[in-house]
Amino acid sequence: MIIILWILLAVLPGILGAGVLTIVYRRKNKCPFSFADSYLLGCVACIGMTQIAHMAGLLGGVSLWKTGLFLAAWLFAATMLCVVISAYGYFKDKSRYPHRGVEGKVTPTLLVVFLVLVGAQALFIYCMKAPITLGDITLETVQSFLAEDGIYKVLPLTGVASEQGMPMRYAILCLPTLYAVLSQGFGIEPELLVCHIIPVVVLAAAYLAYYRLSETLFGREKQKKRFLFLLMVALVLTVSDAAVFMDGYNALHSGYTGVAVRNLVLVPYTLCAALEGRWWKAVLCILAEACIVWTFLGCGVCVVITLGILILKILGKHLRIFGKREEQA
Amino acid sequence: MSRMILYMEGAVQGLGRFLEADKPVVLVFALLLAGWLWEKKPVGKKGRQMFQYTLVMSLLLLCPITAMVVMIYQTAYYDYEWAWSMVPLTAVIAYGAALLIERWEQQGKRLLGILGVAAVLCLCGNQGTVLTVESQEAEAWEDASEVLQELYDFGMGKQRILWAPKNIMEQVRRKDGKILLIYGRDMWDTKAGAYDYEVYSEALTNAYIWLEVMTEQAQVASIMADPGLSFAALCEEEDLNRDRENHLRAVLKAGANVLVLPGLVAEHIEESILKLAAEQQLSVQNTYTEEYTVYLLE
Repeated sequence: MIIILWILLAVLPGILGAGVLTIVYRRKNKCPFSFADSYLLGCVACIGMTQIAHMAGLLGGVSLWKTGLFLAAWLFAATMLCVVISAYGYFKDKSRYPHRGVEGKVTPTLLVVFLVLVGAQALFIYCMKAPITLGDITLETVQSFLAEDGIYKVLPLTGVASEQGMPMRYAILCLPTLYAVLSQGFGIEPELLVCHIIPVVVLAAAYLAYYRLSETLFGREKQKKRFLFLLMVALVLTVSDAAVFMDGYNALHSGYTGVAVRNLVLVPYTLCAALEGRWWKAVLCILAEACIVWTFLGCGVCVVITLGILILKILGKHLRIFGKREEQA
Repeated sequence: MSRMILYMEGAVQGLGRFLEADKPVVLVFALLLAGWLWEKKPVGKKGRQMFQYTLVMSLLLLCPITAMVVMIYQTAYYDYEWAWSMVPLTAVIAYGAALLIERWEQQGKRLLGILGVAAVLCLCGNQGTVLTVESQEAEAWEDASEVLQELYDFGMGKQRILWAPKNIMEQVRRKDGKILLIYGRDMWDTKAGAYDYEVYSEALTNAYIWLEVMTEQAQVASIMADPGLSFAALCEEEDLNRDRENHLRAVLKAGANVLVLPGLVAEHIEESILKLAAEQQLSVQNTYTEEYTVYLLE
């Protein structure tokens, strides 16, 4: 079952995202297909669908098993629909699909170094014991859901029924429900799923997000520069794990938390979307962040990045902080 | 007003903590300065916008007044350091490093460029403290697993409500959601306490403090291999045991039916447990793991 889970986690978001992109770009014949884009959009879509199932389970008092069934059913339906849409889009316009970069080839040495670095990170995450992150109670919450077969029927930290209740802005976060459903559905130990499998998936999604950002910064064809950028990202993540708020710590030790998913995946993807002016993707990232991280009325880091870049674009003609000399010349 | 002062203090002190832990942020400013000073324009339009955004956000977070506003925006749950999530440090460092290496490559020094950048990044990063944390966590996980195994051997017919040292209690519910605790991780982790409105009684808090003091001293005794400092011997000390019956009574009143105490327990502690269990008409069984004595009350 664990192999089936790995395959689903690798493939399902990509299919969902491909379907969404095919619909959105159906009239723009020259918008090239990107696997990274598809996968990341698919992850955002999965978060959204999980959120709806989670709210149904939370507010309706539905058992975890039924919530999982509901989520599985409409994920399956959505995936089938996206397969049909993507296939239609592919056969209608094959020219959108991947072509080889024309500027610079990635040298084998750099590729090996990158793969070794990323492989070591994935192995570290999969094999080492995840430390308890202060303030995070994801695993306790997942165990509570599984023990009670319900969502927030008891307090996660003690297992007793709550007398005073829980803050709603914490109860609405959907990641523990997703993990509990996956654990229950695939018969996998929660600790293995939450602390080892999910962080590896988040790490892969993070590299896809930075790869997509590299396309925005360097252009699609400059493969060598994009790869170098990715290698530098891998190095930064490896060395910056000294404290819980750093990206390296999030990647290597707490990849299952909402803040890790936000900082590693949503932040670079939001940045990419905002720099390209594709505001609908930025809005989706903002909504996804509200579903997985405690925010101020749904407004979090992605809102700041989106608004910041938008303001800079509007003021763009009046700001000459970088590149001044060439423009003056 | 006092809340504003707290935010301001958080912003000022948080910056010191942040710079101490996240040295690569210095690289960001170096790269921003380099990007501004470059004669040619290697930075494309989108790269330029990313640099501009990073510069503006960084300045907002460095100024205590604007940092305070940002902290209010991100809610009081998060400390100052988390506000830097709004600054794409990893992306900017990687982008700047890639551009630097490209510049050196044009001068035929690509390998030197890569090695130089890698060395600077490594020196600015973590110097290897995480493995220590991993071994501590692994040890606590093992201890909790042994305690749980004893409970499973006893049988899980009746609901188990646990009282144990905090290193056991913080692992137990991560392993098994069916084991209840008389207090959770929010007793010592204030951030975890933000998830509910429950408040623990003073009696329970005192019982927690008593057990943690005893556990810590038992660990010191174990390291120093001094039987005179063992948990059993410590239990003899009057100061530490003045209120032991009150602590145990509070724990049993809270519903605990599994007591996990470090090391070998002194006779008079056991007598207290038996006496209090008898008051509630409960029978007591005990078993041992490598580090703990487990009492089961049913």
